[in-house]
Amino acid sequence: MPEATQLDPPGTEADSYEDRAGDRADDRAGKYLIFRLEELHFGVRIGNLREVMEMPGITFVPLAPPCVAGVINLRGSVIPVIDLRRKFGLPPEPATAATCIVAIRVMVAFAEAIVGVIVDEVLEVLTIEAEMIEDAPVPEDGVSYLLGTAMVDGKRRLLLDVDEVLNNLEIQPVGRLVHGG
Amino acid sequence: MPEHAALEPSAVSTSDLSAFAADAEMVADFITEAREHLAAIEEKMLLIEKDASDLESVNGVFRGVHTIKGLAGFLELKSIQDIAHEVETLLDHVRSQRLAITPALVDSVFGGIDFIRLEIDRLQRLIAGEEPPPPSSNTGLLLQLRSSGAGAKTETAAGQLPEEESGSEAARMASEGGTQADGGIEASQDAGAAPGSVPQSGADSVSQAGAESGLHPGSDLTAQSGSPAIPVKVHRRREQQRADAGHHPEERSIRVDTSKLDHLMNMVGELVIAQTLVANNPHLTAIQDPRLLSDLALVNRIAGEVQRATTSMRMVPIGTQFQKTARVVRDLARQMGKQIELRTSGEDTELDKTIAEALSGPLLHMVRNSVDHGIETPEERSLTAKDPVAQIRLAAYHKGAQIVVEVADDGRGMDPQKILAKAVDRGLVQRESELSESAIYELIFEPGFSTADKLTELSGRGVGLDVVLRHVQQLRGHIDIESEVGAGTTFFLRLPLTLGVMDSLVVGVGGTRYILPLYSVSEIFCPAASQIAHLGRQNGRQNDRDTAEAVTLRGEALPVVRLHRRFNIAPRTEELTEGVLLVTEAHGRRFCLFVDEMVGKQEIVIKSLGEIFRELAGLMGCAILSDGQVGLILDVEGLFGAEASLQFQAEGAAA
Repeated sequence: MPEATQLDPPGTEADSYEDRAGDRADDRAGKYLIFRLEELHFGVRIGNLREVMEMPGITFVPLAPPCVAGVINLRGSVIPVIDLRRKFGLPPEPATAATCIVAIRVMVAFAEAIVGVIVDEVLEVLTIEAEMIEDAPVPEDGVSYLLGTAMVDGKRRLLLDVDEVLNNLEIQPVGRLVHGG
Repeated sequence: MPEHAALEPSAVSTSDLSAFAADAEMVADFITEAREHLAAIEEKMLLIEKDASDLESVNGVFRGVHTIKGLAGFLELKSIQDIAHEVETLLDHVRSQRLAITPALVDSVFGGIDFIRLEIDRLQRLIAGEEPPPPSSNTGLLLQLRSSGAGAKTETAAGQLPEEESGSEAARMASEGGTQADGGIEASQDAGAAPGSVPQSGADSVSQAGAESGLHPGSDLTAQSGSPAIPVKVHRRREQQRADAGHHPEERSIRVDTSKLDHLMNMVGELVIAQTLVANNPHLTAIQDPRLLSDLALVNRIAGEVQRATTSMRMVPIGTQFQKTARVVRDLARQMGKQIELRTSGEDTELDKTIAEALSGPLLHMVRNSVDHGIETPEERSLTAKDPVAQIRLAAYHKGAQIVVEVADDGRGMDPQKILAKAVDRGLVQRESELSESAIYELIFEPGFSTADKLTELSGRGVGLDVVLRHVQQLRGHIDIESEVGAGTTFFLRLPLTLGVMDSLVVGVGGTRYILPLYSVSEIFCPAASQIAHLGRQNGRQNDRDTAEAVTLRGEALPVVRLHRRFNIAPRTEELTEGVLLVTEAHGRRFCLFVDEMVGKQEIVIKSLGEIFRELAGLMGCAILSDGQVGLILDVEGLFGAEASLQFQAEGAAA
């Protein structure tokens, strides 16, 4: 049984895209890259992941929305970088050796784009099964940018809806999502 | 007349695309080829209209139409084929001098050409999987074309006509053989290039003629649709028709998808940057080996050469765009009863294909604008002792890294006072504003502004010069205007030669580097304290926009824009005397951009900043600098907004 679930995820994910409306829990199951911001653990679907890289030199873009850290050169293409701390209303922290950029594929204006996000530390890749996933509380005043949350190894992981997060460059405090307030 | 009976079936339009949907590539080939022929036909028709004895052009047009007809036949595009056939028949009459060339006849031919072009556009959208516009009926046009040719038919001897029509294909082949023999080189080239093709094409023409001869003249087209049963035969006929088309310069060239060229261009750009990175590597530069140095220099040279070669592959002469306007000028002038001569120069001036194509719309609009608003009627012109035949002049030339396209007319010119009055009227500027002449002319680019007192059918379609300007600006170009009342107006379109690579200056502000297109900077200097002047609000701390200060350069007061204030970033210095001023131009006005320091000069590959930054004013893109970091490219026009320009002038006048 456990072995079967290990092998299954890619297939399950692809299939579930088709009947997304039918069974919502299913399409959230799969492998997630887990990273840390402060003490919060976030997950990004492996399918959305392009690569993880060390902090490069970031070019500041004047007059850009506040959560945009700037742009970087990703092997010849220029991609925007979002400071997730600012985006989620967390206090700024100087970069450490563990700070890195996770490059994510998102849909921007109906086209696929690569966007980098700055995170405190990349932790691990987890397989999250459907029954572990709970719906995230939807805040009164906004859209939820979480697909859901999952308790894995006694720690709550916040599964990010990257399209939702990165298409909206307003600052969205993370606190009320986590605590359901 | 049997023709009328044939109208109904042939009026059924293309539509059934399923037959060749499987062979999209073939259709795509047809589209490209037909477009080339249409452009050539149009160009030649204009020559013929001027000089009816130009038999060479008549034959050229005939061959072009014939090729389109043939190709459309294989693809079972009946509506195109039918129209092409009628046009061909008309031209055949012209060729054998049974019909004289009149403007009305040229109109008919153009009507046919336009229809074919529309159908081709439709086709292209279909194979691209888009929803095409509904098919247009060709019935009216068919009738019109036939009536144009009717005069010839009745005049000709009865014995000649049936022969001509029934064995039409064979007769045409024969006559074509005759014309090709005139230019003997062509004929022998064909034979030499494809040995064996001669008997094949002969057999084809016979079989085709056979197939047609049993049918009613006029209905042959509808019946023909079933003919390309054997693919091999189709192929041969295609080849033959290609040869028919006459002097094709691309016999020595190949077609390449522009996206492949774009990719190549990008990668070559990266190669040049990567090579710079290697050459600047500190470990490498520490090695003082003459051999290594000369090898690096060699790589540098080759990379540069490869880049130039790649860039040149995308370059096309601007002449094609000029030709498109020739047709518009002719049609409009005829429609409006104006007499206009179009003169062009610099057709060979090359520019990037993408820019050339994107320029086509704005250029057409400017020419239309000149015909419509600029040029007077012959009567008006006679009254002012002008030549009743007006002139529109299109000229292209290179200036630095830019191409300048001039659209000039010798019409009534623009009156700055009238424009200003109208702008005040529309609330575009303050009543008491004192604007320079060029600033006033720029007002005509404001949305909704029109100098014509009444809207005409031609230019009053809601698309104004503001759209032209926006298009040109999207290409990183701009437009200047010169005008004199009674003498005419000249528009200067200045555009970059290529979209990809650009010589640039790198400047620094507060530790960040920014890039400026080299062509946009005319002078760089460090100002002395005596050159600095304050205008208007004495540089009050509150709301002190850059419009409030200026420097005097050789007697000219230039407004200063401080980049750090525009971008709200911390500079190294606030003192103008401690930094660098770059003299640049936007909206027809010179101004100075204040930065901390000059970093250097670099050739860059322009990249888009992407969707997220689409709205940012003052930035036109980004590029990768020689150390691998991203640098932002400044857009001087955006930095020094039009409203700031007006404001400065108003303040300057008040001070």
